[in-house]
Amino acid sequence: MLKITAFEKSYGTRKILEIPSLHLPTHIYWVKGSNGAGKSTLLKSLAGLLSFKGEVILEERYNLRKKPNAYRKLISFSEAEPHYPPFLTGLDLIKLFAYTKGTSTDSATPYLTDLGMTDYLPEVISTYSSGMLKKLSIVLAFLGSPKMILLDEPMNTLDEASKHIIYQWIEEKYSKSQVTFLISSHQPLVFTNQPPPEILLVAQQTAQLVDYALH
Amino acid sequence: MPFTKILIKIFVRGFYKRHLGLLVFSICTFLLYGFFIAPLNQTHLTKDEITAYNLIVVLTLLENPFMLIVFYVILLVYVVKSAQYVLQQLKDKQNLFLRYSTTALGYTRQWLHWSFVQLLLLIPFLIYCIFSFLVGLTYEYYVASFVLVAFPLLVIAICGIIYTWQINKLSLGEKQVFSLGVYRWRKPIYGIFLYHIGDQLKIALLVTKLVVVLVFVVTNLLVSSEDVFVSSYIKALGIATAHSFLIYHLHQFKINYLGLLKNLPVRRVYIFFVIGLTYLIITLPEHLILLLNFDSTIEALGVILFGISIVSLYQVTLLNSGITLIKFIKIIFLLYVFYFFMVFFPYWWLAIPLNFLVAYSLFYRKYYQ
Repeated sequence: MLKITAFEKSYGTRKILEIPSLHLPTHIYWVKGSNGAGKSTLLKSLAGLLSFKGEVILEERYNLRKKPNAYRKLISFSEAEPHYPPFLTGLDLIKLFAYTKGTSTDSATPYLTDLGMTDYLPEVISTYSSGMLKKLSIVLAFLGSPKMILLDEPMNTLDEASKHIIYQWIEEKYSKSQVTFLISSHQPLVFTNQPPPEILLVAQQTAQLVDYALH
Repeated sequence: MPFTKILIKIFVRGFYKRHLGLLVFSICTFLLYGFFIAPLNQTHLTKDEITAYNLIVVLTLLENPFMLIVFYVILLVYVVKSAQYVLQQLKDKQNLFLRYSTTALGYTRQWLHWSFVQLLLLIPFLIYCIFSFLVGLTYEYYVASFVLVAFPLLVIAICGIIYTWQINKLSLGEKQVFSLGVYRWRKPIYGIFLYHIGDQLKIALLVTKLVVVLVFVVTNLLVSSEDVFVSSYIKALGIATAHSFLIYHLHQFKINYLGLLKNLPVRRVYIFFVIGLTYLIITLPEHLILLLNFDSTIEALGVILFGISIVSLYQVTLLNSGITLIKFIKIIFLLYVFYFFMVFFPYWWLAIPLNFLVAYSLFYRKYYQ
């Protein structure tokens, strides 16, 4: 699914991450690590937002460095702290993401209905609370037909009911469409119909898969 | 098209909103001066002759290669300015979503959308180009007319490529402005604004310094060099006003990042003078030049204090809730005009303690509101 080789990311002279080799088959991954370990840096790099050394290849074909456009079509990303221009409406963003992901605006309706967002969608972003912004960014990440969805701290600022709904979406997207998830979180991910997620531990300037039972 | 709609909202509206004053001024000046100005005691020109002279102005652009080059240079300056705005906005964190949404489109489609944005940004020039193009075709200047229109279109296409390349780049420009050693220096509250200027407002500072040079040149031309007192105070007022844009940004920085200051045991009077101190440090070269004109230290000190008192007034106006950049500029303009004329009155220097008193009273009342 996703192959990372000779990956290296530094800020100035400070090395943040070094991953010699990592292979992630289709699955749900819990990206775990302490504050400042490099979880967001890893997710942003995989989303094609940060420069890095090395290779990131999706489905054996789409090299982020060589075919960034084809790669980005198959990746969705939701930021830990989403920011959007305050004068845009939620609907503007839904339309934009639907258009760029090659899907219809209507495909967002089930997600918006589930989270009870339809009423405030025509309002401008400046009127949204942090929880509403978070929900919107997650809905945007689910639009289209991505092969991998990167969610950076998706459960932060969400109420319990919304968390439950998003867990259901993740399970459904994974089981029906074989979408891989990389989810960074400080709380354990709790799925009702799936086995525990694989753990991708980000620590000591590297990332590696570890046994769930040990963590 | 949702993509175009969003790009227009973010980049085109934003650009015109920010530069509206300058554009209206330039276009009106050009049109009024070039075409509609009525010479005094004009009796010798008929209406047809006036039209003919206006046509000559338009056709000179097509006929004279030098004029065409001058036009292109002005166009390029405008293009650089607009491109700078777009690239700056692309780095803004609230526009980060464009990097992980619009980049899923094919490169050609992205390029078309971005080229359309640049086309809209060039509308004032394109209208003039199309007008000249039509006049040129009517008077059979075929090659020159096509060259006139082809160049802006080429520039639009190149800008489209630059924006597409920039947004697809695997980098958020996560470079450090200073070397690591500088970041490790002590950062007392009084110095924190200087770090912010060095980190984020370098271009704004450079533009401000260019405006200050202009203030010196214009004042030297308009005010007699023998009247040192008036000339120095007008320059000090000009320097303070030129720095008002920086003052606005420092205030925004204070609101966005230093909100915690209000919870710290820091005295109000200290916070009040921090901006004035920052201003004094960044305007040291200008003030040293002013000081060279005075023999008396007290008089020289008066000029410096006058500048700081004006800046204090400027910063206090920003404490009004809901103040926008446009409102701020209007207030600054009014204060500038007021103080400009006051400088010519005797006992004018009494305004210095009065400014500080008014500014601090307002600051004291509004700081915690």
